[in-house]
Amino acid sequence: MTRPKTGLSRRHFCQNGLQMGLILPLAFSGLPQIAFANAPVNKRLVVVFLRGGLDGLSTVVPYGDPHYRSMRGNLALKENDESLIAVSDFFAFNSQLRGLAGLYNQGEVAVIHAAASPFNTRSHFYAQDLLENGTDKPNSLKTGWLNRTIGILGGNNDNTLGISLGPSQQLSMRGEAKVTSWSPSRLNPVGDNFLNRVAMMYKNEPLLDSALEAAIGNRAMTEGMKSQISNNAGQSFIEMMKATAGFLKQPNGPRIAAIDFHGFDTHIRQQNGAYPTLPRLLKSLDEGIVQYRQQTPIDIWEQTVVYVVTEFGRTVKPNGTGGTDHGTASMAMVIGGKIQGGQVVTQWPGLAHNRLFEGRDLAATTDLRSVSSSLLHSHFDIPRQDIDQIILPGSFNLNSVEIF
Amino acid sequence: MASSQHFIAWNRFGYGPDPSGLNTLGEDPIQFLRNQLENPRPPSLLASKTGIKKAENYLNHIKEFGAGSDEVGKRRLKLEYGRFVRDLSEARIKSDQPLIERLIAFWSNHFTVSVTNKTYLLGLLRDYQYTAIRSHVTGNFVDMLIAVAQHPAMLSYLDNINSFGPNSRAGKLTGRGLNENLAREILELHTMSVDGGYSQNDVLEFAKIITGWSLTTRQKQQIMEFDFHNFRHEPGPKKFLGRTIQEGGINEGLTALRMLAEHPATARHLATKMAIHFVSDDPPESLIRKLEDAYLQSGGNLKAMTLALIEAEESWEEPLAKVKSTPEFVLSAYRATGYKPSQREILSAFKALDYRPFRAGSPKGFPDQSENWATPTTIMKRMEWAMELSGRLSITTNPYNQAKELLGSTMEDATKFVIRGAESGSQGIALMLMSPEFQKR
Repeated sequence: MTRPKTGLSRRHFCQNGLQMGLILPLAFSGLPQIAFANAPVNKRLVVVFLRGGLDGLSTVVPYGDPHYRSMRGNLALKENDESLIAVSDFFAFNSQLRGLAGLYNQGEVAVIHAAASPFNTRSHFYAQDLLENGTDKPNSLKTGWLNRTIGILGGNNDNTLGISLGPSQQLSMRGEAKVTSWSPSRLNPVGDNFLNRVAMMYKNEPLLDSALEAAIGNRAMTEGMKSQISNNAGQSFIEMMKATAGFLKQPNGPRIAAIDFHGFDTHIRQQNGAYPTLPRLLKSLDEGIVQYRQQTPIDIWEQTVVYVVTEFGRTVKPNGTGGTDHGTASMAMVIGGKIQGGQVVTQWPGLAHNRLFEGRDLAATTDLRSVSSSLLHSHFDIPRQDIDQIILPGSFNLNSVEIF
Repeated sequence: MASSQHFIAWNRFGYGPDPSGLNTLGEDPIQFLRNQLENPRPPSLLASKTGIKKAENYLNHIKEFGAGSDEVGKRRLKLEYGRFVRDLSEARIKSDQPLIERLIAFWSNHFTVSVTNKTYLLGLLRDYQYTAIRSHVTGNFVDMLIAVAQHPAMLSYLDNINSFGPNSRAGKLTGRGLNENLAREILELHTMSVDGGYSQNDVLEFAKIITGWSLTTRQKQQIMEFDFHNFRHEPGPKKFLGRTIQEGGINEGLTALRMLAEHPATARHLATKMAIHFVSDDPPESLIRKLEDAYLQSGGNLKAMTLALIEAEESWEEPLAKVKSTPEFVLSAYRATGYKPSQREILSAFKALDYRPFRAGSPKGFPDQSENWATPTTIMKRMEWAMELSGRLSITTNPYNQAKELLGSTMEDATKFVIRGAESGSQGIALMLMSPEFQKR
């Protein structure tokens, strides 16, 4: 697929502007199109990182496990008070996930339960690093698995396939391939007139120039987009998901997005009490994904996978402050128009005390990287060899997860 | 016209010049910096225990009623946070010892305390900054390290207050055990660094060594202070970095911190980090070596190390080596324009530019590399903010003349051309703030 270039490139324009001694580009109306040309990929991927460690046992609840109630104590959710939406005789969605439960029943959501990264010290720091660098050792690579995926897919300077949503660029998106970044602004937008003048000063400054060029590209794509700024993590996640849908539906826009949702480190008042944390977070997660789907045209939704991950799970038993502490396995969710959803993929380890990891955590039976690896292979047609050697080093022997 | 050395002295080792320009530092830029190190005056920002009292009250409320129940206490702490960020910013905008301010910012980020999720830490920041960091930036690293490791802010932030020796009296009684968080980060981030040659077992042993490093609450004064709790301290000898540390209560921790401060891996780590922060994302080995040597030869003296930094020829090359961090950009813009921001303006500037002081995402602190500060979303927001700030100025001088004073001989032709052609005074200032020569240092 090729696309004719429309207009002059900004670089071209600026150089001429200066060489020819034109006074200033005042007469130039509208910004030139930024090249997201020749996108070789139609598939979309949105990686939602639930930071802090999601309590998988309260999200997709193994209410059929005979030890569920006794082990979870005051955190156990009850079938009869509408706090659960059963999807089988074993698993139920937390009732805050009404939209996702509906999509599950339509076959658009798959849950991978008792999944974790291959190396866990119960440290946020390490676990997040690991998940983002794509290896099985924290701090072993300074680039991210999504950036390396973009490299394999052919993302380059003329073809920005990645977008990092939020104020700081995630490690998963760092690396050699050029990616753009966007977050809503509290300030008034600047005019093209000012932008063009700044661009002229950056022509010999590769780092600033490429950032500006990408920012101008974002502007074109966010035209007409109204993003509410919120200090509330849940609300701002919903807004960011809507914006992400706006970016990813552009014909020549980015294809892979990374977005963070903070606040899942529920050490206190997780479920009960005056202002419990988890129900609100899950409700926003649900709303964000439902909104994303609503704002995505159906043909694009069919090319899309939303992959929801977290760095680790939480203790099976509640702690002394109405919450849970850092644990091991949690769950991941895969959502999309063409996935083989409507299933909870798991080798359920069980909640009996002697089945717990180190006597406290849900044991991990699925390496999260096997989900990522299957996703890359089946969704993007990336050869196993590239996945094993470049994107997720050392993942070759992992089983594939047949949901894509 | 001022030399590029003047430009570097102000920008690489300060928060840029004020509107009177580059020349005010005198003839000799290195001497200007040296003088600051020789005579660091008592900081204008006074320590205050009031914040600590508030934190303590708040903490007691949490213990009693559960977190978040004391909305009044929380609000008071947020007010204190706002005032503290203002005081700190004003000190930097007004300072005539900008190198000292930059050193404080550097070391404070090295020993990051983030208040995210621990609201009561808001009340401890001022004291932490004052007693643990500020007092030691031209002193010995080991003193800073000990002051940090004993400060309530760090002990709380990295959970050492919840660490119990499993075989201590309290540990046996409560069944609680070690929390490695502080021990690990001291080794990994504050001293030897992840490749410094310590093992997992060293982390564990070091965690045992500092069990009992916790807080006392003196009910009468309601002040949170460091205290050593022997009944939480893991008994017995510990083997740390190949050496046996005999049982010795609080002295075990002091011995271990001294060993770390003297360790060559620490010298290497601090030298590398300092060179990256001040000079270049990819600093020459020769520069790192000079800083490392100065550290080791002076017994870990930070004044000696900083002197080596400002006297190294490598520090005076490439005036535009790095993109300014957001706080550097904002504060240098206030300095350059002479604008006197209110507390609200300072806080909203940081917020609009996605910089959240003392809320770094991890104990690693805010990043130092340019790529983190020159992202598309950052550049766009800087442009928006530059326009907003310049719109609030009453501009009396020609922006081009002002730019010459502030950027000197470093100013490139393209920048001259664009600023000269600005359609208004305020656009001219905004363009100057967005020029590569202002965005970089």
